[in-house]
Amino acid sequence: MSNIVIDILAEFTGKNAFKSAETSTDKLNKSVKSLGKTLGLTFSGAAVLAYAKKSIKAAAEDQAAQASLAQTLKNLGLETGNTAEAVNGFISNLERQTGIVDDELRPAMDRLLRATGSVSESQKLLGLALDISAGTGKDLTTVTQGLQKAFLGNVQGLGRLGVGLTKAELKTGNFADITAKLTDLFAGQAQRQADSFKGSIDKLAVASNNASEIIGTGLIAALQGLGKDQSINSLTTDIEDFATEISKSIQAIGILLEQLKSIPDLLAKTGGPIFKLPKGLTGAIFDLEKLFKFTSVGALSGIFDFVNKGVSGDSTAAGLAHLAELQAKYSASTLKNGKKLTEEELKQLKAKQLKLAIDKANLVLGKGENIFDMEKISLAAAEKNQAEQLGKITSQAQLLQITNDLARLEIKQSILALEEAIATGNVKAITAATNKLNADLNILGVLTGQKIKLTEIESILKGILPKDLINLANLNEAIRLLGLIGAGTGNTMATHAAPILGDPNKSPTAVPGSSPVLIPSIYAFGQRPNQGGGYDFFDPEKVGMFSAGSSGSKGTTIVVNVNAGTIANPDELTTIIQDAVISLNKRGDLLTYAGSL
Amino acid sequence: MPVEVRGVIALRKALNAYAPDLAKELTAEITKSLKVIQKDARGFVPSSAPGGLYNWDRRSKTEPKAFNTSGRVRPFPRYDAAIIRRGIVYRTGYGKPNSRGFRSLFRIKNTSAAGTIYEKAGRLNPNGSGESRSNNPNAGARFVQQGALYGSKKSGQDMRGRVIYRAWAQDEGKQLKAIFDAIDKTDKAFKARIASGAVKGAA
Repeated sequence: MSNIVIDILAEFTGKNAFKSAETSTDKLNKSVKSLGKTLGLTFSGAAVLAYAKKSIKAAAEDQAAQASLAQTLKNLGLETGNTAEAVNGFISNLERQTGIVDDELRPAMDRLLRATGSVSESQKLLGLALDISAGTGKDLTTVTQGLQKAFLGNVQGLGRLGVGLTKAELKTGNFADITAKLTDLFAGQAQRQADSFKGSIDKLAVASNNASEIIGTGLIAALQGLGKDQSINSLTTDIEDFATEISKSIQAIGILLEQLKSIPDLLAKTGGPIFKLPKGLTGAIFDLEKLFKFTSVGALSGIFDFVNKGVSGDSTAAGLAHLAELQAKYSASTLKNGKKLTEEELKQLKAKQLKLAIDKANLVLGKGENIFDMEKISLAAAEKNQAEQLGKITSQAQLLQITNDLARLEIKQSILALEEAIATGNVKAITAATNKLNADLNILGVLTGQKIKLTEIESILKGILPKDLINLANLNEAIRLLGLIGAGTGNTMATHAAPILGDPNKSPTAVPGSSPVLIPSIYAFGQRPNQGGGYDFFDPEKVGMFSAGSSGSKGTTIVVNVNAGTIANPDELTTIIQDAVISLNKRGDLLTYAGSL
Repeated sequence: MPVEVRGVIALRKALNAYAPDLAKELTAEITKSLKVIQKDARGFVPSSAPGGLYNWDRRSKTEPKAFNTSGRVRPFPRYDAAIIRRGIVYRTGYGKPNSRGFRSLFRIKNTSAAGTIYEKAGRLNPNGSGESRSNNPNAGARFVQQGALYGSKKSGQDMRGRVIYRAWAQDEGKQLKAIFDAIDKTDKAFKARIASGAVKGAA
């Protein structure tokens, strides 16, 4: 299904993502590990027990499934003596060829057998189901259910599988036609998948599972052999006894080691040979003896007989020498272990230092993560751009916001540097990057706290803020210049003439001065002052707008030509505009308002 | 050692565990914002197929939902405004991580096939394509002529469309800001609750 999504928020979850993206190779690795590694490399202890448990379970389930299929055949009257064996053989072959485990194949076969009542038809349909499953990616169970229902007359389920059949085909066609078409559509899909890399991996996984089942079958037989009368009840009792003896023996080994440590002191106290072993030690040895006897390790039981019967006088010296040797070996071993431990401790210390540095870095990263927000910065940047376009960067708050954004970007860079340092695992680099990030965060903290003195960025403000044209000083200067114009004398402008409005707070009382004004610039009520100090009406002839004596010329019509370029006819203009609109739409420069279509 | 980034997912998990009421409140706030986009987007779906593409329109419910079924892997869906509107949905659950390890937290989706076609037809070939094997190789140009694309195209991310992308573009980040505010507000409330000792074991 094609899908369009706007992801509004997303978060990096690298670890989980990589876990989720676990490939089939990893799965194979797990399967093979459980067989090869467990058997070959660590064939001991809990791993063996766990593997044995898993194998037994797998074998038991496999046996149950086989029995279930055999029962189905019997119930359907298809069992002719070796039918169950033949069907199981068919499934085993299919499993090896396709790489699909028999745990899936057997129930599918069972289902088809119940629907068709024919082994050959079921085998044919199972083959088809495998092809469809490989072609559509649907699991085998779903496909088989669809085929089973279709065979019984309900073709709707088959339609839902998305196999490319129309409703009409499903309604009109009979089952034979439908299967014929499906066979054409999905021919060879299962084989193709089996031949692919994934198929090869699946086949190996199947082999591993089968190995587990075979081993499990052997283990069941072996455990049954341990019970005397071959019954499960006695077997479970023996298993419990075995577990109890193991538990006792583990405790006994602990006591034995403790008692061995105390032997030198005992020798010093008694000053002679030992004739009787301590009670705890005897008990421990007795438990060990029981364990070995239980496990039929008869060769060792002689040792315990020797210990229980007591130590004879002749062999006392030899026994003491042996004990001394054991003690020496134990001391050497302890020293060696101590050295190993020291090395381990050093390694652990280094690992702890690294972890500490990384934890610290993560803490700072967490802080940075909260503050950094790309979307917010984008919004702020957009606002800033708008303000620049309008030429309205007039407030200190805006400037502060921009500075904040720059600081955030700096933090983002520091975060990336820190992540890289963490990836390398270098403690020094991590510490340095952490310090840098801390410093950046402090800067941002100062900015957001508005603790920075605005006077410190006065120079920036001067560069950005537009000049304020209207203030009292500018007004006074303008009035002074006007006064100079009004106080001009002779052919030159007076340099120190008294202003018209000497005191800007007082009203003028009269036309200033007796000095003539040659080129008056100020007009009052349509008149202008003359040289005699009076006022004349404005005469266009005096300024040469019209020639004197040309009567009637004052009424001449003035024609103004406006060059508006080429004017197209309305049709052409409409076409041009339409083309322009379409072109803009294609480029994504929209002219339509929100909500229009 | 993988870097663990603490963020919204961690906050929501903590809220679910220790302050379910705040978690509900946060989801409700975010849903409110998402619904605005959803409603706008549904409003941008024309009731019939855009002009010039009349045969695409499914005029009555009796007509089939798709055509050109023969020889196709998938039939071509007919334009049905009701289906398209119904397919515009929002989700507030975590999505699956993508190949780069990012999980989507909140999203708007245009899920229907016809809605997808109407959303982004003409983005790739605004003048039509001579190489197209489509029955209508000039459909791209026709779409662009009939319904403009809204939104922007950045490197690696084409956010141009006619329905949800349009609603998102025309919202101009207002709902995004509202979502951020809701998260910040909830975060503060949760921290205050922890500081006051009302939430035990959450520190």
